[in-house]
Amino acid sequence: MRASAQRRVPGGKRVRVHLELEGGAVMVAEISGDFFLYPEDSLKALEDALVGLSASTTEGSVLALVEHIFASHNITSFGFTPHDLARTIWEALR
Amino acid sequence: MIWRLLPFEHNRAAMNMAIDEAVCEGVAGQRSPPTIRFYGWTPSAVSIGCFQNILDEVDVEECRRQGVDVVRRRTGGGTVFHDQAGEVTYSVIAPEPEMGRDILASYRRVCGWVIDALSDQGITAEFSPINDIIVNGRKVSGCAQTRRRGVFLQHGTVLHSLDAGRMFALLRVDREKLAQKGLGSAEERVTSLSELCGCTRDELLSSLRQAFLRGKEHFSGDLTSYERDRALELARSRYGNREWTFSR
Repeated sequence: MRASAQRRVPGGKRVRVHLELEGGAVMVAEISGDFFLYPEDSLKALEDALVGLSASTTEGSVLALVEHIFASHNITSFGFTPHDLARTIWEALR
Repeated sequence: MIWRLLPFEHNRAAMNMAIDEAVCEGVAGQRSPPTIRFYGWTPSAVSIGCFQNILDEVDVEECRRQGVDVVRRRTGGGTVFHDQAGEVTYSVIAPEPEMGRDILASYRRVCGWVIDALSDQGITAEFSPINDIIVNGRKVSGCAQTRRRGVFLQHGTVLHSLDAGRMFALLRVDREKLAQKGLGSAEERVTSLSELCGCTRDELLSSLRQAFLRGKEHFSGDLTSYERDRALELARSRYGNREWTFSR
């Protein structure tokens, strides 16, 4: 099953999340948009971290995961916050 | 630090992006000097940010029908239509310490050079973080920046004249973005130098060169043969490669 969500962050950028779900869990995740992320290669770490995530995960758990990847990969984002991304992922999961 | 100014040239989209990367590699390997280049796109092209999903952003079939190149940049940010006749693109490539670690401050600094050039043409423009320059609320210039292997790259475009109808036929317009900015149509969101002051593209280019080089020791030079060969290789293997362009 394919699931998507997107948001235009007020004063910021567009974030889109496309997920492929199987058996209630994420198999493939793509995060896209016109934002800026440094270092750029860290987007893959964010996408990889979503694989295996359960469709019933809470928004708080998604936020904790996103914040962990931001911290562990020293990510700086412009155009969205970890909270914006977590909310978009959670909306796609729902 | 002595900067190199490359001559203005038109290239295909893949080559333009490949030259930026080849120079970045040269700077990383201390084989190339910090470099400023101004350039055009022949044929006209659409570039997309490295994080964008191409099919969400671009009418690829319409681009193909009109003979417009489509290229994925190695920088983030949004979709840009590079009109062969209607814009000037710049790149600034330097060791990261030269431009500072503060990302927003460095965007502001380079955009300040563009604003100075517009001021030289009698236009009052302002920086609109993170990556736009606006005149009376309408965008006239956008840019994107990356930092890899200790090298800073910012490239951006300044609109000289605008074929808005063509631009928005090629791009999938984000209506929510327009609504947030209080604009009713995509055409209302952008403006150009020819609309604002009537200067020629050569006059704009001259003002940009002066503003970018102000206070910098510099020389006028060409790409080295190594840089050009590497750019040709990158144009073929990456920027002209469908796998990279359609990677997301």
